[in-house]
Amino acid sequence: MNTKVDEVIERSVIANRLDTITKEMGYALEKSSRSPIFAEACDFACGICNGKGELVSQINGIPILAAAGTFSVQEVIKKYHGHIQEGDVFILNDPYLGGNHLPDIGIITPLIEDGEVLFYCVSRAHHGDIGGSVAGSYNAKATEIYQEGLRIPPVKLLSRGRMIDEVLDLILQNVRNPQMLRNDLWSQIGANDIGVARLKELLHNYSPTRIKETIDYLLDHTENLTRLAIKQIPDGDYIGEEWVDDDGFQENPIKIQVMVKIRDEEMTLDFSGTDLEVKGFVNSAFVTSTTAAWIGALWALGSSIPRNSGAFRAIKVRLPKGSLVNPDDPAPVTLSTLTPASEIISAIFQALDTVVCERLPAGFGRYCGPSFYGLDPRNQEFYVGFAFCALGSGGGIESRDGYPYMAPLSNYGGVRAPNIETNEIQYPHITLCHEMEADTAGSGMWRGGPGIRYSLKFYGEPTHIVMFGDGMKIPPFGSFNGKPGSLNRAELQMGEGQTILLSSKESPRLLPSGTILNVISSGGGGWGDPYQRDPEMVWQDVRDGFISWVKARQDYGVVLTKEGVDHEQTVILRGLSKQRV
Amino acid sequence: MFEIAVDIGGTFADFVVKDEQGNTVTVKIASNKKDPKETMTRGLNELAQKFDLTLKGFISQTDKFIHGTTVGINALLQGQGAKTALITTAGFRDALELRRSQLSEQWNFGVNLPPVLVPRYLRIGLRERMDYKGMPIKPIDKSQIQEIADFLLGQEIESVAVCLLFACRNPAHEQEFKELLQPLLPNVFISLSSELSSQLGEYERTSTTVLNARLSPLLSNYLLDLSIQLQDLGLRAPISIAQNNGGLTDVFQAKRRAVHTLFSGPAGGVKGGWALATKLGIPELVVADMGGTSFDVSLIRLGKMEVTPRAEVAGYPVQVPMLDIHTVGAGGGSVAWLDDGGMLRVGPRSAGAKPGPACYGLGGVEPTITDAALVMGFIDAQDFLGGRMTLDIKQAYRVIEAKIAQPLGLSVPEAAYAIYKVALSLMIDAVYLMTIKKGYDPRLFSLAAVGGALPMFAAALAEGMGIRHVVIPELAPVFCAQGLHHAPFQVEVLRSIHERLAEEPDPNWKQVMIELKEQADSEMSRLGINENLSSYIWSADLKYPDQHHEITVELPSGLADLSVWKQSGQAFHEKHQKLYGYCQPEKSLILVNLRLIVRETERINWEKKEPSTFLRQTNYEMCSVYLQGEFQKVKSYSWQNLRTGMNIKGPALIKKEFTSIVLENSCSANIDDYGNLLIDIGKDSFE
Repeated sequence: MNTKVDEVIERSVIANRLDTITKEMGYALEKSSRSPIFAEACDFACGICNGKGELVSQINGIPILAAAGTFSVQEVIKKYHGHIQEGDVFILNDPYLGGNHLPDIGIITPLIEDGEVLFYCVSRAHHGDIGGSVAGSYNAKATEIYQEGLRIPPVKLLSRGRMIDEVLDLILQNVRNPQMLRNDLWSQIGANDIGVARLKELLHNYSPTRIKETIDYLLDHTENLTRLAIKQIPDGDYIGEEWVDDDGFQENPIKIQVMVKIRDEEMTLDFSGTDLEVKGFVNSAFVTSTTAAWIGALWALGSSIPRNSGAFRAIKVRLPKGSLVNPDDPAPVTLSTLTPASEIISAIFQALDTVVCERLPAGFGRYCGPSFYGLDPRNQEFYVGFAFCALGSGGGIESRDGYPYMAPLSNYGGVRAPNIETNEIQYPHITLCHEMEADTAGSGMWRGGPGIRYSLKFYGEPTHIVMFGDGMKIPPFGSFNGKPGSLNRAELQMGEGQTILLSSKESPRLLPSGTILNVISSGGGGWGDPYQRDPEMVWQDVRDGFISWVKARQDYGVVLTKEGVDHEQTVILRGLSKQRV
Repeated sequence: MFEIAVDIGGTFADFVVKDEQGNTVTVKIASNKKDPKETMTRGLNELAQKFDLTLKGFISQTDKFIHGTTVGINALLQGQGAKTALITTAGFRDALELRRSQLSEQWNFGVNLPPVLVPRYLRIGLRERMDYKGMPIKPIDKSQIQEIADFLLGQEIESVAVCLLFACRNPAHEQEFKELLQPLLPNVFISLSSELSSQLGEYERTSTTVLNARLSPLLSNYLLDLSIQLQDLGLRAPISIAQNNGGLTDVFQAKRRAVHTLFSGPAGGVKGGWALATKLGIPELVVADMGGTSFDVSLIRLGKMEVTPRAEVAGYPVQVPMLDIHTVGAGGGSVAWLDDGGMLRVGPRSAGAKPGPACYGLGGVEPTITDAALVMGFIDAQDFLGGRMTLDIKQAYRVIEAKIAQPLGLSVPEAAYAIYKVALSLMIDAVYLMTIKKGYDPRLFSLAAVGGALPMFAAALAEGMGIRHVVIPELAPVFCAQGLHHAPFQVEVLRSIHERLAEEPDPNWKQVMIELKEQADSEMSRLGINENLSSYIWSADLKYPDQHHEITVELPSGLADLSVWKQSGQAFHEKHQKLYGYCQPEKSLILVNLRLIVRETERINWEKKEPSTFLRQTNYEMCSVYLQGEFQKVKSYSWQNLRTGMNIKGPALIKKEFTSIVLENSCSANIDDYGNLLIDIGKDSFE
């Protein structure tokens, strides 16, 4: 038999199998984990790296975790190379040593054959609390990473198959929900074990050399695909900018600037024009910034490129030391996976949207909402929850409107927001409203998705909330003359008509009983001139309550009657030729 | 007297009739997508002719009529449905559109989501509220009812879906609303979420209810017309409809529960697999079906069919129990292609039936699995679809050469072989995920291969999984319709509990169980099934207190036995270990749901073949087939000449109407007492 045929076949077969194995790991993780953020919201990623720590396969999940595994594994290799034994399992969360932010814990399980590490199975997952001075570990007033929670450098959690209780105890002693964390660490370990067992079966069928060759081919192949896609973009320097509201201490916005340099099949994302690191937790350390840059670039390059280390090889990222996107240890970074990760991506979109306009949307809403914690009066247990239902909405894109409730970019399509019913069983609150809000969507030929009004009344006592997020000052941008989306907004209703506006980065706040919290999330940015929108679609939007009559007239130049579009008046108002109608 | 089972699918319609002597007659015809009734009449006419009867004469002698229908799913896929409004709790009318923020295609912003089935202006918030325990905290605002009725009338609404928060805990408000609204809108169909699903989660329940509301009126019209037509022809038996769970119901129930019939046809296939497994004494069976566009897998485990509590259909969640069928886009028409970097891929895109594979000569210009099989000699170009079609092998060569072989530097047969192997690996992975992720070892299963395209792959698929035995049923091409003959009447009822599981049952649960049993019994008696002809299966959905996903455990014995709860707890921990790699027996459990399935006592209606004259030999021709990297001359048999007791050694080809079976070197095959082909995979290998 022609070995060429074998090669062709084995490449496809092994690639498919690796993806099947990561799928299975993800399935096990989702179904067996406990913290809501993890099991309900699916805030995790798992994947397989080769012996060099290159990411070979990963399930779809949270985009900002797409490359996290490879950094974690590389830190383990750096520290333990030559001392890794069968049955060892490693743990880490330090953003300055292969992690992204402290709540995300990476568990890494090597697969050893004949003394050589052939694979690492890696799972990274967001846990409800990792200690630090604020429950839920989003500490908007932290000025050092030490205040954000427990730092775990790469260490062994299991040695030759046995749990090292000293390490586990040390970790559990430092968090607010030790039982839940213990269970969830077990479910990560279990998922990795499943990956390891399946890879062993693969090794049973193909020799390690064959598999290594195939994986090298897959990575090279992906690199080629990426370079081909880069080549499609004309050479040039493309500059994009995005801004973060503030750092929670001073009011000035913080600039992220990227220069995308395209030279033939080389792409460099240079962030030299970005502001210096700041006091608050909106800094983004190396791992998160690099991942954000990679996925932003890959979105621009097309969806058919596998998201593995081969693709990452072709995209160079320059992050100046001491800047917002590569701060020095111990700058705080917890917000980074939401903001500025999404803003790094947004800057890249704005740099490239003129060259690959059909692939890139207008601005997305940023995350902004509270964590809440307290004693649940129903069972006297301590709880920590997050306002996952306060998500904002997506921007419009050429050929369709933005989707509601799909923001922020860093989580696009990967986080599964809980049902209201599940939330009310889990936490002592009642939801008063969870609906789209009129006149929040950025107007455009293709408008943004409308933002969400989310209202809660807590009955736990005492209840604390901690506001964290961004986008209360800087809205989702509009593209090609589309209008920006609305700002994030949050307020407390204290009864007697007393209303307190909340800001995006707050210290824990005690809520008096009966307080109502309203969060109104951003609508997405619009794409294209709103005057180009089909008047019938504007009428439908009014009928559906997405926009008001006033907005239809002001932004879209559409005149409506009770029966529908007044085409004649619309033509006059739009001042356009008849063919538009 | 005749018993008729009909499966009207998207591409083909299959009819299987049994007469009093135990003879089976089958008909397979092309399906008229636009008019399933026309398809039905045409098929019944063909059947009548086979019995030398007039249509009337045939139908009037029929005392059982079982129907698997795709009316619901076809309408859904084609975007048809009744004009539907949605009633939700006020303040929560957007769950349907917000989709819990999930997307299947994250890396492509240009991809369109499936359309929202009820536009926002037809979604109405009702002022009422239940809390998380199902306690009403705000009664229905009755002043809203007339207003809603007027609006719906003005909008010419045909159907109303109602999904209120926590109706899964307490359906009172949904029921009250229906009682108030129905008299004002007597001709409008009203579907309540609490009648369909008792599971928590308003997004999935709303989606389920909306699908049901949209599709039921369509199904209802079809079934009504069909009933009248068949009654006019003299049918005295009621029409039984197959449901997603493999059980039958009547027209009265089906027309209000379209969402329960979405997988009516494929469920017949699983049921057929179950009957096969039971009859042949194979407790663990993978049932795999491959047609033109997809590869479907389901499992028979410990002699039982596997059920899943929820699934996704065309991008919409459906939260009703259904037989667990895993589908991947690999069928005879799946296209082979090279990606931008030159890697060979197969599917999920299909050339369909038109233009179809290049070898159909209908204008297809892309190589498909069927083209590869033709080049490899697995299919006879002169004798495709039972001789109804001639294939153009030159065209198959040409497209494989241009699109695959040349770019990769392979010969055409090598390229065809590579396509075949990559397609095979997709199937292996599908079966693999289906078995292994549930904690089962695929090597302990046998494989039943049905559908037009699968028998070509069956032996290789089994070998790839480490499976030793393959069954190709005699009625493989009409397997789903055949399976419907084994479907019993079935009723399933469920109650959400959400309480801690102690060793002794909570006294309230006893009452719940009594109510569930009464509810199920009254349904069964309406279906005409006597209590002593029914079997009762209780099961519980359990989880650890802080866990989010439950595991279903069958309750081992009668309810009187107090150790039932303890046993079910143990069963839970064991299952958890198997599925997720760990368990925590020291922890207490939450009883999420209690479920009762009542099923008509099953009878498998499958007779042994009359032993024919004892033949050891049969004729064969020699033909050229590409195996093990080269063309080999192998024996080619015709299935209809095979008899019980014959043993065929690989390498060989067995041709059957609509399909062919490829036996490699190490395999051997024989016909069993029921007329099935059993293949023994000689090798003890895994992939």
